[in-house]
Amino acid sequence: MLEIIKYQLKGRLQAILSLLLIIGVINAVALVAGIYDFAIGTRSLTPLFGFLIFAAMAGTWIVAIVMFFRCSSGHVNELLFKDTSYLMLTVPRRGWQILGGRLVAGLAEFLMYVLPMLVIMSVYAATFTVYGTNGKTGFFAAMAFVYRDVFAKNFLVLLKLFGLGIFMFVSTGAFIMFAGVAARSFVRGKKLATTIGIVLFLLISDWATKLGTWISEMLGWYVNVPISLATNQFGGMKGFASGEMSGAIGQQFAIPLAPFLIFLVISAILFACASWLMERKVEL
Amino acid sequence: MAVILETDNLKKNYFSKQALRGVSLKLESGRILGLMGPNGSGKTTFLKLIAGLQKPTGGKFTVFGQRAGFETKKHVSFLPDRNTLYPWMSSLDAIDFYDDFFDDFDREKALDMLDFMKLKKDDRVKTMSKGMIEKLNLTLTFSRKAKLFLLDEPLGGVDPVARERIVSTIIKTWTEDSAIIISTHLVNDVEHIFNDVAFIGDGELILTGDAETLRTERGKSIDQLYIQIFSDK
Amino acid sequence: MSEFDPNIPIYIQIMNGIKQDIVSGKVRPGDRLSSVRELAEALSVNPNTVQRVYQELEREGISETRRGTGTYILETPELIPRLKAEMAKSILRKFIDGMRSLGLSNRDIASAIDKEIAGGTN
Repeated sequence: MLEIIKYQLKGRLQAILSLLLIIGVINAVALVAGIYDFAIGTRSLTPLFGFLIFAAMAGTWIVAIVMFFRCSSGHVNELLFKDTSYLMLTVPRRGWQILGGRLVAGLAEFLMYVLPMLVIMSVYAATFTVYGTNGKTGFFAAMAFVYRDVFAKNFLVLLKLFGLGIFMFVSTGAFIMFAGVAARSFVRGKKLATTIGIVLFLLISDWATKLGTWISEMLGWYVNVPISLATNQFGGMKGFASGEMSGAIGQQFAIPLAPFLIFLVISAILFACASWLMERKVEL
Repeated sequence: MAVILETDNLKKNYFSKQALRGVSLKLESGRILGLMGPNGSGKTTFLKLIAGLQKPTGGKFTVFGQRAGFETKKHVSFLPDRNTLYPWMSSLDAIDFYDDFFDDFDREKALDMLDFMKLKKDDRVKTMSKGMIEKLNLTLTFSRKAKLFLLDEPLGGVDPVARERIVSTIIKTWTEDSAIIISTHLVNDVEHIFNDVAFIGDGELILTGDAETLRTERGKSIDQLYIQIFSDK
Repeated sequence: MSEFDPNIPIYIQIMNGIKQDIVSGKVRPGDRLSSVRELAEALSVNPNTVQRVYQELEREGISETRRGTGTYILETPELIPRLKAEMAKSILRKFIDGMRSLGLSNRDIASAIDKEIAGGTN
């Protein structure tokens, strides 16, 4: 499986660098505008800067969301619909190794987008804090605040959320992979197979969620997750786009447990099925 | 003489046509089989079935005694009629790839053959001409110590000098304990390297046999036999 | 590649080629012949065919295959005269059959030979 990961990442290198470049550039443009504003003495958010930030964030998040779906499926569309997939079908590797390897490579790739994004978001948060205190807080002090009070204080919660994120990534991947492989196994035309794959994915996701929620209602399995975000140290993150946020955010989320377990089981089953189909049914 | 490939009434149907209608043949080690027929006769389908790219709709086959599946992929080296290498790869990347995925890959041999074919290690697939890509694919295919080599139209679209090199390479790679199947409709260039021949038309075997025997029995070259068999198809 | 006559088994044609080389002195008794693979490559034929050639040559007492080293032309003194005689006989046989099929009698054949040798080019 290691070789699969290696070559998948090697193949994606160009694309990853291009995307990182795009994200870097659009955010750099926004930040430069902000620095310029600050340098000429502006102490509140100008419409231009606000718009640029909005555009940059929108672009970045769109990339992230699209990549979430593509990476989690291990770019299964490339695996099933290109001539270069001849290679994967002739190497002596099991279906689960091929799909599993691509999933892991996809996760590595996705993290390569997420980590810079976190840094960029921190920079924005720090920037707003600086504006929010009318420039009384230095930029680096603001960054320190972000890392200390947002990340460090809530470390365990963030870790749980991270785990949850991985879980969702893998689940989504299993669903998409299954939908793609199943469609390709039984349908010859590429366009038709893609359409059926997407429909299949939506149907299964919907069905699985309904099943999970129903079961958890029956059994009453819930988990309480406390999340707190202490932000009152610097008088709140004022000037955040428009309006103000309250000093401290503390909440309790009650998350139904059963859907997750159901999803886990279903994901495992779908992955196993996709692997079997990959080995026994997919044709080129 | 071990039996490398044995197919039993192998069938393949698509929605619109029957590509293979029950092909049964046996190939022993140390033999080179020429699979000949016009376009659409089922040659490529047959090879793809053995390579594992397609699954039969009927019949079965064994490679080196093993039933078709994951295990047989280890023993079969397939050279398709199109480029299947990733465009981002350099020749060296491709060699690394084969080295990583196939236990029977001979890296030294591959590097030697790369020189013999006059290819450079850093050339990338996306900048290579069709002929260069075919030579690279051939290098990779033949650097494996596989039991069964399947070559789908290895001579098409290649200039005569390259063709000679390819025929040379095929003979160089031949061993007593492996077998080679070459599908082609350019019969003239290669007929003297065939031990066995099989003429296929419309998904069925029309004539099979030992090349030398057929030549003397019918007083014709294999090329002439081909014309005779397929001229009214 | 296409220099082979389709009516005669290839291995026989190769054998004749080798016998020709022996008689003409290109290959001497005691010489080592190319390996199976080398000859197969040089002629673009199946290695099995070359194997058969070497087996037949051995059977006819022209060569011997020593394990590990290769195939060698035997150094028997009668080898070259013997081959010459065999090949001459085969050419004669073909010639005579050909002449006979034109309807010529034995005497016609003999006088045609004399005339050709006397006046014809060597």
